[in-house]
Amino acid sequence: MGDRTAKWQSRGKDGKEALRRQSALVRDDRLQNGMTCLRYLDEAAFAARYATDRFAATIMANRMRYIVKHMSTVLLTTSFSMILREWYDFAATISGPPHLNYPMCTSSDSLSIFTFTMGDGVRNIVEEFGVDNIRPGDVLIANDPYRIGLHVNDVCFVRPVFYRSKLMAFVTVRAHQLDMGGTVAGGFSGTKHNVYETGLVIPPILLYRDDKPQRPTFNLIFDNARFGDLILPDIKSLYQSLLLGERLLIETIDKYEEDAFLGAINYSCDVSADAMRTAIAERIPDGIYEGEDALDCDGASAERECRLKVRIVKAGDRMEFDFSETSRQAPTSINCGPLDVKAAVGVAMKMLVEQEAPITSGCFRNINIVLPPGTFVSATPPHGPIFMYWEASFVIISAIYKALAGALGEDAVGPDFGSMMVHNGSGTWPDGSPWLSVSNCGGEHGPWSATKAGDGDSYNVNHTANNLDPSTEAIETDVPAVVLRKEYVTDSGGPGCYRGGAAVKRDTLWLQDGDHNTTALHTRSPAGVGVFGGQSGTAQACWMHPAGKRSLKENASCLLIDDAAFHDHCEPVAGIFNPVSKRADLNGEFFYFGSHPAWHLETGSGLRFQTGGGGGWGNPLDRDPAMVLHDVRDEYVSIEGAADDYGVVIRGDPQRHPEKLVIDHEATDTLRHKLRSEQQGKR
Amino acid sequence: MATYAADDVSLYRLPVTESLLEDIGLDVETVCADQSIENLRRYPVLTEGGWFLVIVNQNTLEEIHRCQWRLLGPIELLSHGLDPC
Repeated sequence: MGDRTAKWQSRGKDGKEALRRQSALVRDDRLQNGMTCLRYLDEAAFAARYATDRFAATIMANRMRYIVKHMSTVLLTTSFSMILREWYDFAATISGPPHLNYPMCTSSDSLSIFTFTMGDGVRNIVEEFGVDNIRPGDVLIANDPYRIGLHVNDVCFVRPVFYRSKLMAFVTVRAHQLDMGGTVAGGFSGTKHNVYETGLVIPPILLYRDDKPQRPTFNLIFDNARFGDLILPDIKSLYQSLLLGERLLIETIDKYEEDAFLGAINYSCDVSADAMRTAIAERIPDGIYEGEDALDCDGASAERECRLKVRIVKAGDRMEFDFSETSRQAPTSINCGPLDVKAAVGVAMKMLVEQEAPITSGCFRNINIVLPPGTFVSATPPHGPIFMYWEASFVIISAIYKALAGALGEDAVGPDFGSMMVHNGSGTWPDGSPWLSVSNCGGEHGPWSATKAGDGDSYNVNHTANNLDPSTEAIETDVPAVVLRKEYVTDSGGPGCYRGGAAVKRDTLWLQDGDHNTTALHTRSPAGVGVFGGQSGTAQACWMHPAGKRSLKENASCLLIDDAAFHDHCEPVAGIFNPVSKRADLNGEFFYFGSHPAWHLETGSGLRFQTGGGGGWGNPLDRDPAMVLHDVRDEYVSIEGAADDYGVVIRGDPQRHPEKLVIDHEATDTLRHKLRSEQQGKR
Repeated sequence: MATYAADDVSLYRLPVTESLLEDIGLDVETVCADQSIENLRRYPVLTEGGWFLVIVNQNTLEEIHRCQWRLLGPIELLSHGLDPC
């Protein structure tokens, strides 16, 4: 690419100089790396490019990964709020200095949707604050989604690392703060109308100078955010994590010297760039691919669908993702911003085509994203509020999966459960102190779709994350709730040669009055679509079970045991339901999550969340009947589902005698022959 | 507070003219030797290193030119109004 770009340069000296001035360092970097794969560099060429040898560069790259892992461990083991200590809702990165254009060379293992935004985020924070204004002992923070992506609760903490008075790198942690003010405690809501309702927006400012806390900044946060008594010790833990990262990085520079260290930063990014470029060139045929997916609606209107359209052009070793035809931005907080789009594209490309190299800013060297402002994935302030950004990210990923499914063939991957249907609840304990439950008791964890490697897992984080599920014990300690059920739903995973993961049903019983909301945005159609001949999973849904005049025990019984009583008493919150039976039914009526900004539930009330199911991979009639038998025994599939979806006839009683189930082979052969004929007829 | 530069939508996939190529220091003859100028478009993209304004051949994705665009892409800060003109 570099050679080709160079060809077009003006022959005139002035023209070349003008071009050099206009073009950024990144372009020069492309020139350096050009078309030459790293593996073909001889030792001399490697040393000329990176000021070190291949072995030392690899050691330093690995050491930087060790550093961000240890930074993460510090925070995970010393933070106080459940969102950090139980959810692992943070990520750590290392970025290079300004004169290299802030290459993000290292990222931690947790949320990839964080790390993919952090390279640009660090640049945007430092450039706005002013490179000349930073000095050793500083910690800069910012949280503005329009500047650095994600949402206001995800505060970015940036520590410059100096060595012999030279600015060499930045260690950064982006971490979810329990609250950042705004109209909803905890913040999770898709019905907020503008940036003033979403919470405190922090531009790039100093949190520490000369390693002394800047009280005005702390006061700014605590004067606007709830739960400051938890956020303060969390920030102290964050600061210690940054100090550890800084110390370990300085030790590294001291051992290998400055030029070699900077070479290792470039090398780390080039490894990712090389891997992605090769994968693009080899795994996707040249062509134009289009895909789409949609959020059901926004938080102001049940009728306003947010449709995401992506047009992907692939030529040689380059790809362009164009989102120009996407719906306009929503007037409520279900939008996301451009850096979130970039992160989603990065996640999709990692999931689909390149899994070997680490996540660095180099992943995007051969990828351009075209994204005009004002869509619901490029929302603009103040009336395009951003909070539930991941919901928009999910449809981006889903649309890319769909667009490339045909080109990838058996390597295609289906989306996960598609919408986190986050639950947000708050209230007060009997002594008047507040409680808050964020992302603990809704549909936050669920299934993945199947792949050519096997069945989809049924209980996982979404594709953009790699963090934790809070333990039931932690939830019940911090929150006035009893987690009654986390259970897989029979016949919910998309049928396939490999079956999609099962939907997860989660019931909670609430022991205090409180206000609750959820943002369910993929209920009209299943998110977990099948690929390579597989079929889709089921769609998501949410119910509440008001306490009424029943006792706590009676309500628990309705949720746990008495399904008929539950459906007699329950009220659909979000999804498509039969209005009479109140059971999920895609042929029924739409119930809109935004009909109430919050539901007030009295003590003894319950909530039920059922995630979407994962999509299947391959033709379900090709599934090994023995695997279907296991599915019936384990209640992933019913006897009726085995026959209807897989053409496998099972005899026996899975409830009373699960080990005595048998396959009726003769009936199976007959049924599969009939179903295959029907499939061929449809084609 | 940030705001959004409303005219930015008009920046997308602009046709490329010979005078534009000359203005940014490219040799028109060389650029057009292998391809029609009709196939070139200029627009902002988000990629490694942030936002760039690129000229790209729409058939081959070959990049003829790129230069750094605004730090925050289409977002402008009202506080930029504090800067001296």
